[in-house]
Amino acid sequence: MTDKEIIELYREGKTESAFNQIVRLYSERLYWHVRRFLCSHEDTNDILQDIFIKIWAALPSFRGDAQLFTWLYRIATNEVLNFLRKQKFKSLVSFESMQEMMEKKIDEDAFFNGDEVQRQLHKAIQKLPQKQRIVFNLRYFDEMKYEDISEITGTSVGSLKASYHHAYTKIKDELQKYF
Amino acid sequence: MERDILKDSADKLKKMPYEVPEGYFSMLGSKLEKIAAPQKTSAYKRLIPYAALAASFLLLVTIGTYFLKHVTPSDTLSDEDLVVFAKIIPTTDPMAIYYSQETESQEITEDDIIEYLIYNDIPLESLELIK
Repeated sequence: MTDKEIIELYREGKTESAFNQIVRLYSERLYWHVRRFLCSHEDTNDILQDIFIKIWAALPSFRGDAQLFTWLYRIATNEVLNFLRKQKFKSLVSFESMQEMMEKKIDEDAFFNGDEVQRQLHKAIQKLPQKQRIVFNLRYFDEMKYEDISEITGTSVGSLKASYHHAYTKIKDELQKYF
Repeated sequence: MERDILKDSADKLKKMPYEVPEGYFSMLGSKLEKIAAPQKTSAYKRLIPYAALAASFLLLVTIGTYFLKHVTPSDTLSDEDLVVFAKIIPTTDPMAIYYSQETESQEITEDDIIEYLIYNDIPLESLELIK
Protein backbone atom coordinates (compact mmCIF):
# COMPACT_ATOMS: atom_id res chain seq x y z
CA MET A 1 0.00 0.00 0.00
CA THR A 2 1.30 3.48 -0.87
CA ASP A 3 1.27 6.60 1.31
CA LYS A 4 -1.50 8.04 -0.86
CA GLU A 5 -3.68 4.98 -0.36
CA ILE A 6 -3.09 5.12 3.40
CA ILE A 7 -4.20 8.76 3.49
CA GLU A 8 -7.28 7.89 1.41
CA LEU A 9 -8.10 5.11 3.84
CA TYR A 10 -7.82 7.56 6.73
CA ARG A 11 -10.05 10.12 5.02
CA GLU A 12 -12.71 7.45 4.44
CA GLY A 13 -12.89 7.17 8.23
CA LYS A 14 -11.01 3.88 8.42
CA THR A 15 -8.57 5.36 10.89
CA GLU A 16 -7.60 2.11 12.59
CA SER A 17 -6.82 0.39 9.29
CA ALA A 18 -4.83 3.41 8.10
CA PHE A 19 -2.77 3.35 11.28
CA ASN A 20 -2.17 -0.39 11.00
CA GLN A 21 -0.92 0.14 7.45
CA ILE A 22 1.50 2.78 8.71
CA VAL A 23 2.74 0.29 11.31
CA ARG A 24 3.19 -2.41 8.66
CA LEU A 25 4.96 -0.10 6.22
CA TYR A 26 7.07 2.02 8.55
CA SER A 27 7.71 0.31 11.89
CA GLU A 28 10.87 -1.42 10.65
CA ARG A 29 12.17 1.61 8.77
CA LEU A 30 11.61 3.87 11.74
CA TYR A 31 13.18 1.29 14.03
CA TRP A 32 16.46 1.47 12.09
CA HIS A 33 16.24 5.24 11.82
CA VAL A 34 15.98 5.48 15.62
CA ARG A 35 18.55 2.77 16.29
CA ARG A 36 21.21 4.60 14.26
CA PHE A 37 20.93 7.44 16.78
CA LEU A 38 20.51 5.46 19.97
CA CYS A 39 22.59 2.34 19.18
CA SER A 40 20.91 0.30 21.92
CA HIS A 41 18.05 -2.05 21.03
CA GLU A 42 16.36 -1.56 24.41
CA ASP A 43 16.28 2.24 24.11
CA THR A 44 15.03 2.00 20.52
CA ASN A 45 12.28 -0.42 21.48
CA ASP A 46 11.10 1.88 24.30
CA ILE A 47 11.07 5.00 22.20
CA LEU A 48 9.40 3.38 19.19
CA GLN A 49 6.27 2.73 21.22
CA ASP A 50 6.11 6.44 22.16
CA ILE A 51 6.66 7.44 18.54
CA PHE A 52 3.68 5.42 17.33
CA ILE A 53 1.49 6.69 20.17
CA LYS A 54 2.34 10.23 18.98
CA ILE A 55 1.65 9.30 15.37
CA TRP A 56 -1.77 7.92 16.31
CA ALA A 57 -2.56 11.02 18.39
CA ALA A 58 -1.37 13.40 15.66
CA LEU A 59 -3.01 11.63 12.70
CA PRO A 60 -6.17 13.80 12.81
CA SER A 61 -3.96 16.89 12.41
CA PHE A 62 -2.18 15.49 9.33
CA ARG A 63 -3.44 17.72 6.52
CA GLY A 64 -1.54 16.16 3.66
CA ASP A 65 0.55 19.28 2.90
CA ALA A 66 3.66 17.23 3.61
CA GLN A 67 4.36 13.70 2.46
CA LEU A 68 3.29 11.03 4.90
CA PHE A 69 6.74 9.48 5.22
CA THR A 70 8.51 12.80 5.90
CA TRP A 71 5.85 13.59 8.50
CA LEU A 72 6.48 10.23 10.19
CA TYR A 73 10.25 10.71 10.11
CA ARG A 74 9.82 14.17 11.60
CA ILE A 75 7.85 12.81 14.58
CA ALA A 76 10.42 10.03 15.06
CA THR A 77 13.39 12.41 14.81
CA ASN A 78 11.86 14.84 17.31
CA GLU A 79 11.24 12.00 19.72
CA VAL A 80 14.84 10.83 19.35
CA LEU A 81 16.15 14.34 20.02
CA ASN A 82 14.00 14.58 23.16
CA PHE A 83 15.36 11.26 24.35
CA LEU A 84 18.95 12.36 23.67
CA ARG A 85 18.36 15.56 25.63
CA LYS A 86 17.35 13.47 28.63
CA GLN A 87 20.36 11.22 28.11
CA LYS A 88 22.61 14.28 28.04
CA PHE A 89 21.32 15.28 31.47
CA LYS A 90 21.98 11.75 32.74
CA SER A 91 25.53 11.89 31.37
CA LEU A 92 26.11 15.19 33.23
CA VAL A 93 25.01 13.55 36.47
CA SER A 94 27.25 10.52 35.91
CA PHE A 95 30.26 12.70 34.90
CA GLU A 96 30.49 10.83 31.63
CA SER A 97 30.36 12.61 28.27
CA MET A 98 27.50 11.83 25.96
CA GLN A 99 29.95 10.58 23.33
CA GLU A 100 31.63 8.23 25.82
CA MET A 101 28.23 6.94 26.86
CA MET A 102 27.23 6.18 23.25
CA GLU A 103 30.60 4.59 22.39
CA LYS A 104 30.21 2.37 25.43
CA LYS A 105 26.77 1.33 24.20
CA ILE A 106 28.24 0.33 20.81
CA ASP A 107 31.07 -1.64 22.43
CA GLU A 108 28.83 -3.40 24.91
CA ASP A 109 25.91 -4.06 22.54
CA ALA A 110 25.23 -7.79 22.45
CA PHE A 111 23.39 -7.35 19.15
CA PHE A 112 26.32 -5.71 17.31
CA ASN A 113 27.40 -8.02 14.52
CA GLY A 114 29.51 -5.72 12.31
CA ASP A 115 33.26 -5.62 11.74
CA GLU A 116 35.77 -3.09 13.06
CA VAL A 117 35.23 -0.59 10.20
CA GLN A 118 31.51 -0.54 10.89
CA ARG A 119 32.14 -0.14 14.63
CA GLN A 120 34.42 2.84 14.00
CA LEU A 121 31.94 4.34 11.52
CA HIS A 122 29.13 4.28 14.08
CA LYS A 123 31.38 5.67 16.78
CA ALA A 124 32.43 8.47 14.40
CA ILE A 125 28.77 9.30 13.73
CA GLN A 126 28.24 9.74 17.47
CA LYS A 127 30.99 12.38 17.50
CA LEU A 128 29.11 14.57 14.99
CA PRO A 129 27.05 17.58 16.08
CA GLN A 130 23.35 16.79 16.24
CA LYS A 131 22.25 18.43 12.96
CA GLN A 132 25.11 16.88 11.00
CA ARG A 133 24.30 13.49 12.50
CA ILE A 134 20.67 13.72 11.36
CA VAL A 135 21.61 14.76 7.82
CA PHE A 136 24.35 12.15 7.54
CA ASN A 137 22.09 9.31 8.72
CA LEU A 138 19.21 10.24 6.42
CA ARG A 139 21.40 10.92 3.38
CA TYR A 140 24.06 8.24 3.65
CA PHE A 141 22.05 5.29 4.99
CA ASP A 142 18.50 6.04 3.79
CA GLU A 143 19.68 7.80 0.60
CA MET A 144 16.99 10.41 1.04
CA LYS A 145 16.66 13.45 -1.20
CA TYR A 146 17.71 16.77 0.30
CA GLU A 147 14.19 18.09 -0.34
CA ASP A 148 12.74 15.33 1.85
CA ILE A 149 15.34 15.86 4.57
CA SER A 150 14.45 19.54 4.40
CA GLU A 151 10.78 18.67 5.11
CA ILE A 152 11.82 16.48 8.05
CA THR A 153 14.25 18.90 9.66
CA GLY A 154 12.75 22.21 8.58
CA THR A 155 16.21 23.31 7.35
CA SER A 156 16.97 24.73 3.90
CA VAL A 157 18.44 22.46 1.24
CA GLY A 158 21.56 24.64 0.95
CA SER A 159 22.24 24.39 4.65
CA LEU A 160 21.67 20.62 4.56
CA LYS A 161 24.15 20.17 1.72
CA ALA A 162 26.78 22.09 3.67
CA SER A 163 26.07 20.06 6.84
CA TYR A 164 26.33 16.78 4.95
CA HIS A 165 29.60 17.81 3.33
CA HIS A 166 31.11 18.65 6.76
CA ALA A 167 29.82 15.43 8.31
CA TYR A 168 31.05 13.31 5.42
CA THR A 169 34.54 14.82 5.52
CA LYS A 170 34.82 14.42 9.30
CA ILE A 171 33.83 10.76 9.20
CA LYS A 172 36.06 9.98 6.25
CA ASP A 173 39.04 11.58 8.06
CA GLU A 174 38.17 9.75 11.28
CA LEU A 175 38.05 6.36 9.51
CA GLN A 176 41.30 7.02 7.70
CA LYS A 177 43.05 7.14 11.08
CA TYR A 178 42.23 3.47 11.54
CA PHE A 179 42.16 2.00 8.04
CA MET B 1 44.83 10.10 -4.57
CA GLU B 2 43.08 10.19 -1.19
CA ARG B 3 41.07 7.06 -0.39
CA ASP B 4 37.33 7.47 0.30
CA ILE B 5 36.34 4.53 2.49
CA LEU B 6 32.74 5.72 2.74
CA LYS B 7 32.42 5.42 -1.03
CA ASP B 8 34.65 2.41 -1.60
CA SER B 9 33.04 0.27 1.08
CA ALA B 10 29.55 1.79 0.78
CA ASP B 11 27.82 -1.56 0.20
CA LYS B 12 29.12 -2.93 3.48
CA LEU B 13 29.01 0.29 5.50
CA LYS B 14 25.42 1.12 4.60
CA LYS B 15 24.26 -2.17 6.10
CA MET B 16 23.20 -1.94 9.72
CA PRO B 17 25.71 -3.78 11.91
CA TYR B 18 23.06 -4.49 14.52
CA GLU B 19 20.76 -7.43 15.03
CA VAL B 20 17.40 -7.62 16.72
CA PRO B 21 16.04 -10.45 18.88
CA GLU B 22 14.44 -13.26 16.86
CA GLY B 23 10.87 -12.56 15.75
CA TYR B 24 11.15 -9.00 17.04
CA PHE B 25 9.54 -7.21 14.08
CA SER B 26 6.46 -9.43 13.93
CA MET B 27 6.01 -8.97 17.68
CA LEU B 28 6.58 -5.21 17.30
CA GLY B 29 3.90 -4.94 14.62
CA SER B 30 1.21 -6.59 16.72
CA LYS B 31 2.26 -4.57 19.79
CA LEU B 32 2.03 -1.26 17.91
CA GLU B 33 -1.29 -2.11 16.27
CA LYS B 34 -2.82 -2.31 19.75
CA ILE B 35 -2.34 1.46 20.09
CA ALA B 36 -5.23 2.10 17.69
CA ALA B 37 -7.42 -0.75 18.91
CA PRO B 38 -10.54 0.52 20.71
CA GLN B 39 -10.35 0.07 24.45
CA LYS B 40 -12.89 -2.58 25.48
CA THR B 41 -13.94 -2.30 29.11
CA SER B 42 -16.40 -4.60 30.85
CA ALA B 43 -19.62 -3.31 32.45
CA TYR B 44 -18.14 -4.25 35.82
CA LYS B 45 -15.12 -2.01 35.24
CA ARG B 46 -17.33 0.86 34.11
CA LEU B 47 -19.39 0.57 37.32
CA ILE B 48 -16.36 0.74 39.62
CA PRO B 49 -16.23 4.58 39.87
CA TYR B 50 -19.96 4.81 40.62
CA ALA B 51 -19.72 2.07 43.24
CA ALA B 52 -16.78 3.87 44.85
CA LEU B 53 -18.78 7.10 44.96
CA ALA B 54 -21.78 5.37 46.57
CA ALA B 55 -19.53 3.62 49.12
CA SER B 56 -17.86 6.88 50.15
CA PHE B 57 -21.27 8.56 50.53
CA LEU B 58 -22.47 5.69 52.72
CA LEU B 59 -19.33 5.91 54.82
CA LEU B 60 -19.85 9.63 55.29
CA VAL B 61 -23.45 9.11 56.41
CA THR B 62 -22.42 6.33 58.83
CA ILE B 63 -19.69 8.47 60.41
CA GLY B 64 -22.09 11.43 60.68
CA THR B 65 -24.79 9.32 62.34
CA TYR B 66 -22.28 7.88 64.80
CA PHE B 67 -21.15 11.36 65.85
CA LEU B 68 -24.69 12.62 66.25
CA LYS B 69 -25.71 9.65 68.38
CA HIS B 70 -22.63 9.17 70.52
CA VAL B 71 -21.04 12.57 70.91
CA THR B 72 -23.66 14.60 72.92
CA PRO B 73 -22.99 18.00 74.47
CA SER B 74 -22.91 16.46 77.99
CA ASP B 75 -19.86 14.50 76.97
CA THR B 76 -17.93 17.45 75.88
CA LEU B 77 -19.44 20.56 77.51
CA SER B 78 -18.34 22.15 80.75
CA ASP B 79 -20.74 23.04 83.64
CA GLU B 80 -20.94 26.63 82.41
CA ASP B 81 -21.99 25.42 78.97
CA LEU B 82 -24.67 23.28 80.57
CA VAL B 83 -26.15 26.36 82.25
CA VAL B 84 -26.28 28.10 78.88
CA PHE B 85 -27.92 25.05 77.32
CA ALA B 86 -30.40 24.91 80.20
CA LYS B 87 -31.79 28.29 79.06
CA ILE B 88 -32.67 26.73 75.78
CA ILE B 89 -35.15 24.37 77.43
CA PRO B 90 -38.21 26.69 77.16
CA THR B 91 -37.73 27.03 73.42
CA THR B 92 -37.65 23.31 72.92
CA ASP B 93 -40.34 22.62 75.59
CA PRO B 94 -42.29 25.80 76.48
CA MET B 95 -44.27 24.07 79.21
CA ALA B 96 -41.02 23.70 81.15
CA ILE B 97 -41.45 27.34 82.21
CA TYR B 98 -44.61 26.45 84.12
CA TYR B 99 -43.07 23.38 85.65
CA SER B 100 -40.20 25.43 87.01
CA GLN B 101 -42.61 28.08 88.36
CA GLU B 102 -44.63 25.37 90.09
CA THR B 103 -41.61 24.17 91.86
CA GLU B 104 -40.83 27.68 93.08
CA SER B 105 -44.24 28.02 94.85
CA GLN B 106 -47.12 25.55 95.24
CA GLU B 107 -49.46 28.09 97.00
CA ILE B 108 -52.46 29.70 95.20
CA THR B 109 -52.20 33.45 95.37
CA GLU B 110 -54.90 36.09 95.08
CA ASP B 111 -53.68 36.97 91.60
CA ASP B 112 -54.10 33.35 90.53
CA ILE B 113 -57.76 33.42 91.67
CA ILE B 114 -58.47 36.71 89.87
CA GLU B 115 -56.87 35.43 86.65
CA TYR B 116 -58.93 32.26 86.90
CA LEU B 117 -62.18 34.21 87.41
CA ILE B 118 -61.43 36.59 84.49
CA TYR B 119 -60.68 33.60 82.32
CA ASN B 120 -64.09 32.06 83.29
CA ASP B 121 -66.10 35.30 82.62
CA ILE B 122 -66.98 36.00 86.25
CA PRO B 123 -68.56 39.48 86.49
CA LEU B 124 -66.51 42.37 87.74
CA GLU B 125 -68.74 42.77 90.81
CA SER B 126 -67.89 39.35 92.03
CA LEU B 127 -64.21 40.22 91.67
CA GLU B 128 -64.72 43.22 93.85
CA LEU B 129 -66.28 40.96 96.46
CA ILE B 130 -63.23 38.83 96.61
CA LYS B 131 -61.05 41.83 97.26
